[in-house]
Amino acid sequence: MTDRRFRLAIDVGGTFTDVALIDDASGEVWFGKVLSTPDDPSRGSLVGAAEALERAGVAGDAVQGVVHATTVATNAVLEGKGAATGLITTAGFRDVLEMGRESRYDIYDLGIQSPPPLAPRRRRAEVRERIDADGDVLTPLAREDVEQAARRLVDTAGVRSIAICLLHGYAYPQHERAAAEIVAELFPDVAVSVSHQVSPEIREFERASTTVVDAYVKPLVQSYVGRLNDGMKALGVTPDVAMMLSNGGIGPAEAVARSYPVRMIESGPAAGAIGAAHYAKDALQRPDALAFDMGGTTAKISVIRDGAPSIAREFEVGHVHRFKRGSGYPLQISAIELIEIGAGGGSIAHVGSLGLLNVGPQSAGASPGPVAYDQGGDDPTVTDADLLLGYLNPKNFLGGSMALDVDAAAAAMRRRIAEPLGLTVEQAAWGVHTIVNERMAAATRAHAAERGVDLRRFAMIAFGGAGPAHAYALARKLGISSVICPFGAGVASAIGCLAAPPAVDLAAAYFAPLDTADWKAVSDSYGTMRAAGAAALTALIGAGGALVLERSVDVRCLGQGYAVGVRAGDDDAPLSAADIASGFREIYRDIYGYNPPNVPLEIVGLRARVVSASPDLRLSPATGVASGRPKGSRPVYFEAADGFLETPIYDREDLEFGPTTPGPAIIEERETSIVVGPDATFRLDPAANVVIDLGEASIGDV
Amino acid sequence: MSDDFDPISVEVMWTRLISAIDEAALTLHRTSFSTVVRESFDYSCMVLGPEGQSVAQATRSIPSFIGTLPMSVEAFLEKYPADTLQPGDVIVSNDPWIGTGHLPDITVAAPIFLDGTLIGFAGAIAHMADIGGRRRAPDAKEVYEEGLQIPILKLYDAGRLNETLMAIIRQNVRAPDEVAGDIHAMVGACERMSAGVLALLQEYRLMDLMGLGDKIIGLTEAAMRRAISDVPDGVYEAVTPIDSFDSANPLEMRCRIEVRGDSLDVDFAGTSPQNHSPLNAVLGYTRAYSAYALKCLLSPDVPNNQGGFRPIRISAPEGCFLNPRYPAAVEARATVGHYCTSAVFNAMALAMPDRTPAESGTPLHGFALSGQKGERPFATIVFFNGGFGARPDSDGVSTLSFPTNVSVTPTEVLERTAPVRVTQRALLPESAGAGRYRGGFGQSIEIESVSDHPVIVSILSQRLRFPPAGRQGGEDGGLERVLFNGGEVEGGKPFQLRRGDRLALELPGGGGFGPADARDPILKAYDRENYDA
Repeated sequence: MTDRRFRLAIDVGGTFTDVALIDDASGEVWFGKVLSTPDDPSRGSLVGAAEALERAGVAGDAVQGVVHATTVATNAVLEGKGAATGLITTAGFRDVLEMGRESRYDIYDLGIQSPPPLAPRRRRAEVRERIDADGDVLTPLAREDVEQAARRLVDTAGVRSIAICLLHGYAYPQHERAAAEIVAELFPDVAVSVSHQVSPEIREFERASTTVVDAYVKPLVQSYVGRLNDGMKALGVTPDVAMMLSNGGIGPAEAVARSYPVRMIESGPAAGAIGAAHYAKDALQRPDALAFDMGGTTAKISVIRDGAPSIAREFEVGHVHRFKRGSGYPLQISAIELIEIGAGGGSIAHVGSLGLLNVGPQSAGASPGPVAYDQGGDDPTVTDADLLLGYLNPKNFLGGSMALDVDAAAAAMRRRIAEPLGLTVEQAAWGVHTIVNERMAAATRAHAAERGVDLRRFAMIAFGGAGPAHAYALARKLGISSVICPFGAGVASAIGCLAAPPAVDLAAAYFAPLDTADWKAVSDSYGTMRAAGAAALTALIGAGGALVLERSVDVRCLGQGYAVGVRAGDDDAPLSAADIASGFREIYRDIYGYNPPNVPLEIVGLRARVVSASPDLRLSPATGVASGRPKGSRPVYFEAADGFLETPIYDREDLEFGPTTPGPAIIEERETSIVVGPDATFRLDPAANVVIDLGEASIGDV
Repeated sequence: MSDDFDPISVEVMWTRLISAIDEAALTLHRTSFSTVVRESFDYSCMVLGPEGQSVAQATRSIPSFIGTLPMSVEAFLEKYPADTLQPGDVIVSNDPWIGTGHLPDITVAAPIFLDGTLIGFAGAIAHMADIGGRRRAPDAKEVYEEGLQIPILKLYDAGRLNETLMAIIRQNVRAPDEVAGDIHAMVGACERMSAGVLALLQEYRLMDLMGLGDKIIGLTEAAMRRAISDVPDGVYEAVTPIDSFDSANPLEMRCRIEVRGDSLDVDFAGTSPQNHSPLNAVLGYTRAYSAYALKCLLSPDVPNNQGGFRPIRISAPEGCFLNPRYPAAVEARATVGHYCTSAVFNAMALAMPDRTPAESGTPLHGFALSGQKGERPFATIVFFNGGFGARPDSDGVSTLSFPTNVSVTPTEVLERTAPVRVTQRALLPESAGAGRYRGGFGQSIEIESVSDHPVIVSILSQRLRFPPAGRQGGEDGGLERVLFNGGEVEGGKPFQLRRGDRLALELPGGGGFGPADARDPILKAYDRENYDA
């Protein structure tokens, strides 16, 4: 017990705040769950942290690192609680933020709405300046315009945070820099976000949108991080808090909040995906997996290749229609790529306008919740269907703390679904289960196609309250033959916080034909990015800590619109046009299925991730005495059997390491229930993960 | 569950089919070369039955394209009967009369075979960066002036590319690599769709597509009939005047809608004759946008396929500008055809006064630009949209594409593509019709040439005299204006911009809904704070 090295992870979710405390020396881990405190999430975080420390009998000063995932930035946008935000932009373009891209996300909806601009027009100001696409200054920045704009925005329009986004600022930031300095000098207390720092990417509307969201959340996030750091100090915990970022890395919370808080928007979901990636690396020889997190209102799916979640360069926040792409504020920043589907335990089943069975995206949420909760809900939900199919135990929900009403669920299913459609209650329940699975499968397939991924080679990591109950059937639809329900799945996001490496993503503008690129200039640009990355991470790893510079070059066919990122080796590896061209062709074939046309290639940007080593995370599950025997049996519906089978029911804690057991089976734990079909087997692996093996060629049986 | 097409299986398979088409559309979007496709999303993908019946299309689609593709495939089958087709064939055409109504859109379709039997088609349409001819010439008199006409031909014959045809296409367009690349991308999308359909049929052990297709089409038809039944029977007539390029002679659309029980007839008898300008919309296009308007009003939530059109008949007399005879000039068919939506709304507003929105700043407006950029010729089109009409329960959305769905090209991208500088893009609050709910705002946009070679710009201007109509006492939206170096001009012929010349467009906002004095004071205050000059 002399060499204990503790780290603490705190993941704030909508309902619960999850805490994990690990001793990195032994792998011993303590979990905690407390109610979240939405009015000030730092309070719940501190309560949870204190509780975990106490349970482990560890003093605050023994903690060597704290990683935090939070929805504080997202919620500020969703609830409209951000700062009064202004925008300073190039003369002639203040309305671009409100005009958007002018297309409709739903072509038949005459009642279509756009999200309201976070900086309304009275809070947008123009300044005289202009730089062209080649970097020539056509009109120098009128300093007096910036001063005037800042005064008007702050003194008259009451703005507390200012976004600065000028045309072509992604490549030529000198005017943005000058403007930011002027504003900071005049109003040191007003937060400033600058587009080339937040999102150095071409396309003025998306960049402005990203910068404005950044500005909008900044004051709130800064004060939140301040309170959290102070609170941790009061607990005796000395290291500054590190923040889980949308891109799956961690950064010093204080610096992130100051420089680009928008990068925390997907903090929680990113932590979940990193947690899944950790389990994939731990449990699989080839860590290619689909992370599948199904909760009460949504399912989130992400693709993990070679142990790392795939990264998207744009996403949205604050959707008017939650699941309609295009109805939110676009963000052009790197983030773990997640598809979010309106499919969860609370999703409501209904007969649609065509007389077909539909599920979601409306959700009964936590209140009134599914009919079986007996809290006033009378619309049948996915949870009700799962209960009627025998997947859930009415007496073991949340460890038995909440009884489920099977009869009420059956009555609602009969009234709303079975009778109108001429089905039995069981058929209706199976329909709800399989349709929600098909919706998740469809979204997953489209996503996989976009990434050039063959899912049949992938395993599935299933977590969330409803994930393990749907994983087996979803895996069958996708042709996936192995499902892993990990140990600690209930706090997977907190595990992700502990597994994430310190990392920062950077980008630089560079345009040139590949054949005539100036590699010296490219190399210099990467050098600059390395220095910037090292500086950004100093607070976490100390000056001179070991870092890797992962380089990639954005390349496209001359004239084509979409560039693909081509890995260009790490650190100072030599750069060559030939290597990059062949890398491009390979990725292109992967994604599109055919060779790129025979046209010249061009570089349209440079990207880098400066990353430190991932923590060596090993979880040692507590070993108790396991009987290996089921605790009972009940009838459970399986499509492969076309009906109910008397199925053994296990407690997860009773499973023994090693032996392979044939399905069908239900494995119950406190937060969830794992379904294993009659054509599958399961076992408990050495890391205490439940592994379901569906065998070959599961596709086609659905 | 023995029935293959019970309410559960249909939903499951349907979801699967749409996702296969969405995958293909994504491929087309990401591999395309022209800014029209990749920034403006001017393309569509669709799966059709073996006789060209529309079955399903990608989630993001252009309404006219999904309306005309079935007609194109029917015409393809007339030239190449089903029993002559083989795997690896791809048929192509840009014939406006059997296609989308003008030459720049190329339609391709590939037969899908299951065990040697033709079970359907994968189809794609995309707007090319150029098609030769006198680009978007407002003074064209016949289709011959408007570019290369590609009759119905095989682009691929059993997997072999028709090199002759490709060479002819390349030789006739200003941007051969982009056009060839986009055709390539469409063929790739068709391959993707075919593979997706076959995987679906195999997985569910189905022998053909139309078992599922007919089921969905039947359900859609029933839903549309129910929706029509809710509209009071009667005859509803409206006249919608629109600009021609000859200010003395505006055009007139006469739309007569007769609702009887669960079916509905739309007739454009009395509409102005076809004209010697590109302002002519072929019948297929007229039908596509009329049907689209009805779907938006009556059954927006059900899938789009042939079933929704069965209870609806749409006619226009041959020789009017909504059904012109060959070889009329048709390039600007959108400029007039988009008004079919307005015409149908204007008539249906009499039947459904509380459900029909005010008119939008329709049609699509834009600049077609060409000339030299450095040593290379360039050609590109950029689009801009007016405001959406006010709704019975909310303001119109500003600068929103309707009835088409075309995005604006970012200034930063345009300035890398063409030797022009954008000097302004701004909302025009005064362009919206006032009302209890006001119209969405239009916009103004100005470009300036930065080239030593002349930059040719075509504008197919509209709404110079006839603003978007308000409803129920709401006021009309504004008018379009074209300004050359600050002076107002008519947009009848192409402009030549020399270095420093400026060309600006001001686009109308939507009409208002309900009397302006009934407007909520909170909305009024927001507008006053933000949009008063």
